Amino acid sequence: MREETSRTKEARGETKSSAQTGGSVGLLLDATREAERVLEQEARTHPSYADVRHRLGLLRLLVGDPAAAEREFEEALGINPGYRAAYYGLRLARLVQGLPVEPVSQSDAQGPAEQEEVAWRAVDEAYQCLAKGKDAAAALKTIGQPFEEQLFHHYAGFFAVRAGDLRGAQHHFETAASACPITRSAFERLGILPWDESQRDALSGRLSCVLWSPLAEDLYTYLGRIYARNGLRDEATDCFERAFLVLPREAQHAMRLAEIATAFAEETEAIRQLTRAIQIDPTSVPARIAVGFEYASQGFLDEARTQFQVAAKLAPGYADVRYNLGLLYVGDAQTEEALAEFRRALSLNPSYLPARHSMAHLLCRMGKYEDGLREYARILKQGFRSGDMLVQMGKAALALGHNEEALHHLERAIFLNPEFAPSYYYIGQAYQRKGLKNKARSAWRTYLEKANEWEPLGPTPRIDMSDEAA
Amino acid sequence: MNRKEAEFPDFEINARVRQVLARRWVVQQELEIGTTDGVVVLKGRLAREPGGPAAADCPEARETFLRRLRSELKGISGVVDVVMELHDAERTDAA
Repeated sequence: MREETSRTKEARGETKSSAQTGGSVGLLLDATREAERVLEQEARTHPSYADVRHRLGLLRLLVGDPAAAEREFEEALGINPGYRAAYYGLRLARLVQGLPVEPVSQSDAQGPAEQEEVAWRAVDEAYQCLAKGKDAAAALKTIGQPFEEQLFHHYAGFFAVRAGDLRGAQHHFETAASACPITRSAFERLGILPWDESQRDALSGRLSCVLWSPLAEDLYTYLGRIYARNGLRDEATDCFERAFLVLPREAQHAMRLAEIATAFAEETEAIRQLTRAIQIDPTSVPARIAVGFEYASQGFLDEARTQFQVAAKLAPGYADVRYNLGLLYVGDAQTEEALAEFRRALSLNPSYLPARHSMAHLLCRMGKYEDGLREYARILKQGFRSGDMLVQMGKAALALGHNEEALHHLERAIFLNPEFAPSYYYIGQAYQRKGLKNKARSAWRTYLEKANEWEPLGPTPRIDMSDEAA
Repeated sequence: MNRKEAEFPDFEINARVRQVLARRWVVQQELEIGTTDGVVVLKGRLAREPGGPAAADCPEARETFLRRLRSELKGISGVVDVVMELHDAERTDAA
């Protein structure tokens, strides 16, 4: 097929103008190959990862090997028969090979997944119409909110070119570009706009450089990150714009750009993009979380708190949001509120270690040593060990007068992290209570040796040298 | 305790930890990231976004990366210790 050939050529670096294809052709080859290398390796290491197989299927489609793509999607469905994206991927692989497909099966997807599936199904039907020589645009009109206008025009333009209706394609592309600067930028990179009648023959090839399926949003995001990680911003942006072309979601696009800005330490740009994502979609919890962390990392804790509070209202079921809100309340000395948030986080995810760790610590700080120790014991049962945590347990046991238990924890703390000065301070206290003066003295001496970089834990231990002299 | 808590709230440290991870292309979705009294905890699967040199996949390179990451995280103001409990076991969120 023409579209596969063009994509393959771009992947092989055979196209002539990088301006036409959007970015450096040679580098696109590297990203595709790198993606292939990493995904194939991951598929070998983790054969049960259906999403890796699915992404490999998309990659095979992108490089113009739909038969191989079909096999990857089948693998993905073999692992997870309910994997709807792979199901539509398999259908696409068959459709572009001119093979028949069954009617779309029923889905029980809900919420955002259901919205995505509406787009997948509409484009699937449009490909079927194209194969039967019918009007693909009619199928695309079934696309509902939130994609409606933009996605319709992107795909209607593409299918119009495929059907030889260049005037119709021009209308759709120009309408889409006038409505959205991201679309305009993407089409300009591809060489589609400004529309040039004299370039009619090249249009189909340029359009075919894109894998026209909403499923490909994931793949273009993946490829964009490869470029970004290698410092190739322009190529990354090109990939992200292609991700937008195949599934126009402005908030997600802004978040992808923010991700790059964060990676490149561009704090202002990161905030700008994340704020934009929230302006476009005020209900975007990932955007609220991301901007909250970005604000916090720049020291704007009030702004961070606001974002996390909104995120918690929008999505009460996010354990991570609950935990971080709890940390914010700890910082504000709102201990009861903090405890409540940690408990909520743990009710959502009982094995959420940082939440239990912070809760146990807070309980001990509040003087609820038995409760705190109970939580620490649960963490130990999870197999987690840290010198600091054992010191906290030792302190709590000391506070309860459980000297042997304190010694047990503190000895383990020293074993795990012999450089952690506070362990020696508290174990000195435990020894002193047992009347082991020499051991206490030795522990405190070690504490003083190691504690140079630490602030005092309390009164500096007084080492009575007279005993030693005796 | 042994650090100026008011000056370095755990939440802010947590945010800075995430920033470092983002700059090192660590996939954060597969990690539990927390800070308690200046002790940073990373638990889960430490995977990186693709695109690094192929040699970075070898165990020695991974160890070097972890060592540098730990050192960088320890350099964040207010961090007392960094505890990593990492594994490369099967993900639980694989589709």
